[in-house]
Formats: sequence, structure tokens, C-alpha cells
Amino acid sequence: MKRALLFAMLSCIATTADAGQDCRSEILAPHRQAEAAAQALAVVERLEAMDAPIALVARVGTDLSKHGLRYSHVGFVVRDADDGRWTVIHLLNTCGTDRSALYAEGLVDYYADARVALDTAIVWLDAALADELARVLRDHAAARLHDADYNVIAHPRSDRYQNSTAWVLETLALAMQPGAPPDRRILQAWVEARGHRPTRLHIPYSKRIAGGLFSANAHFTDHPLSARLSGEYEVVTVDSILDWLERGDRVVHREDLQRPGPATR
Amino acid sequence: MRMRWWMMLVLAAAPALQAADPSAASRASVQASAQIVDGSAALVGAGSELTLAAVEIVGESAHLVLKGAQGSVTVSLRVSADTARVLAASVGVVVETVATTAGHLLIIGGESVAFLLSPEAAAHRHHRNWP
Repeated sequence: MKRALLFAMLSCIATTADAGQDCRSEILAPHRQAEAAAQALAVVERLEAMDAPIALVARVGTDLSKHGLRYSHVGFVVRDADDGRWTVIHLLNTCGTDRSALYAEGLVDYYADARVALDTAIVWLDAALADELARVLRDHAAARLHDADYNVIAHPRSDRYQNSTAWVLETLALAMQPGAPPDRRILQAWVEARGHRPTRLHIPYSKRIAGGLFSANAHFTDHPLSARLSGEYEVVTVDSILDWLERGDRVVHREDLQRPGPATR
Repeated sequence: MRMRWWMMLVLAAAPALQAADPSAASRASVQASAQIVDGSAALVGAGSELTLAAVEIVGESAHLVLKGAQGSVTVSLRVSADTARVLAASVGVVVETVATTAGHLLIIGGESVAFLLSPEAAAHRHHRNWP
């Protein structure tokens, strides 16, 4: 009887975990389009006021407030790239599946995809790091760090999976070491040795089982068993990246632009 | 109570979550604005006197022909089923335009049905795979 129950439960997991989520096309309400575009222009104004080729831009795509976090996603915004005056280069999960891709997009598109709020942080880096970052993006060395196997909760030392924040952290590490090979394992070890501290998220059993047992984009298997049993997971977050950069004196200026978004009305 | 071996297996196998999304992630395709496909953008300004002269809806796409004293303009946009119903019943109705920081909202019967980006904002609309 027990074996039959176990078989039934595991079969259920295997079937639905492969299914992924629908890639639904969302039609934004006109007022949301207007707000996203207004936030994009506000960011452009700040970017134009600074003499820098690149900055980090963080947004609120997911509500992480229960973990004490505000920003869930970050990308590089590059001046005068191929597509326009300002272009955001970042990694996005493909519609809730276990795959990801890198994108270059304008700031209007970037903020149109901010699901929770339009609040944003713009972070400018010291000139040497900014120049090197612009170079590793221009010559596509950063693209060689991309691993399309996506895991929303990827372990910071995972060489099997990657999420959007991990790609940003590894790209920063590549830019900090001119001439270093674009090798994820080496870069991950380097940032850890240089004091990057991943965020520890507590996800209790009840939430995990009720909330996400069947998520195609969540693979806990690259976390140690002790983490799975305790519910304490280490991940690279926007906060952990910015904290690391600030402690290393690599941030020259930061601005947070608050603007209510869809979830706040 | 002791945890049975099969309970441990199920709990460890359960990858879990939704509880954490440290990286944003899911992207559905978003429609960031309506577009003028024919006519002059200058016709659509705050306070313009416009009438919805014709509506064509195919699936989630709509083409609106707006007529003013100086001519007409055709706007293409994606619409929800609800908005499509409002538009289909609104031919001949006055369209209000409201200026915002980054463009104009088109309003019919008190409901905003479309947002037209200003040229300045439209320059920041692009999206492609990289590199």
C-alpha cells in the first residue's frame, strides 16, 4: 500500500514537472504602458546626466518582500549599443520553462515587464570596471558565460544551472579580471574568495510543496541535501551583488527611483 | 513520530517553490504600446477632436481609424477581449486624448483603450535576442 502511494506521488511529480508553464501573452493595460514608458524616460534622464558607458539597472519583477528583498532582477544598461541610445542586456527565463536566453532591449520594454512595481535602482560603477564591462559585452565574451539551463533557485556555485542574477555576477567577475577565461567555475570561485556573500532564503516545506512542487524552472538538486532539509537556500540576488560591489568600493553612485506599479493599485 | 523512509524521499524529491524568484524570470511577450500605421502622429495630441471612424478586429489585433478636422490616422494595437467589445460598440464615438509624460492615452467612454508612445519614448522600444 505504501509503495503504491509512493509510486503514485512520484509519478505525479515526474509528469507535471516536465510540463512547464504556459507562455501566456500579456496585454498590458494602457495606463500601465504609460507608467512603464514614463519610468523608462526617467531612467534615461539619469543615465544621460552621468558620463558613463554602462550601469546596472534593477527592477521588481517578482515580489520578494517576504524574504526582505525589494529588487528581483538586474541587467546591464549600455550606452550607444547597436540597437539604440540605451540598451539593457540581460538574461530572461523562457516563460517558466527550464531554459533561458540573453536579450538586448530598450528601457520601455524593460519596464513593461516589471510585474510587481516600477521601482528601480540605477547603479554606476567605477570607471575602470565600467569600461571593462562595456568591453566584455561589446566583444560578446559575456555571452560565453551564458548557460541556457535555467534554475530560478540556482546555487551560486552551480555549473549545471544559471539564473539571471548569477549571469550578471559572473559577468562582473569577468570584467574585474581582464584576460581571464570565461569559465563559470573559475569565476564563481573567484567571487566567493573575494567576499561575495549569497543571500540565504528560507523556504519552509509547506510553501515549497504547496507553492511550487511542479515548477519546471526550479531545480533544487544542485543544492546540498542539508539545504533541502533545512529549507535554507543560498542564491545570488540583486542585494548580494550590490552589497558585494559596495563593500569592494566599486559603486560610485546609486539612485533608487520609486514608482508604484500594477500590484500597488 | 518517526519520519518514514518514503516520507523523507518525497520531501527531498520535492524541488519546490515559487516562494523564491531571485531573478525575475518569466517573460510573457508584452505589448508596450499602440502604433500609428498610417497618417500623421501630429493629429493625436492632447485636446484633439477625434472620432472613432472605423474599427477592424482580428483576434487580439485591432486597427482603429481616427478622424479629425485635419485628416485621419490609423492606429494598430493589441487588445483584450473586453477592450475589443468596447471598441466594436464605439464607432462614431468621440475619442479623448490625454497627454502623459511619455505619450498619449486614447480614451473612449471614460475607458483608456490605447497608449501611443511619444517619438522620444518610442526610441527606447526594441527587443531581440543577444548577441
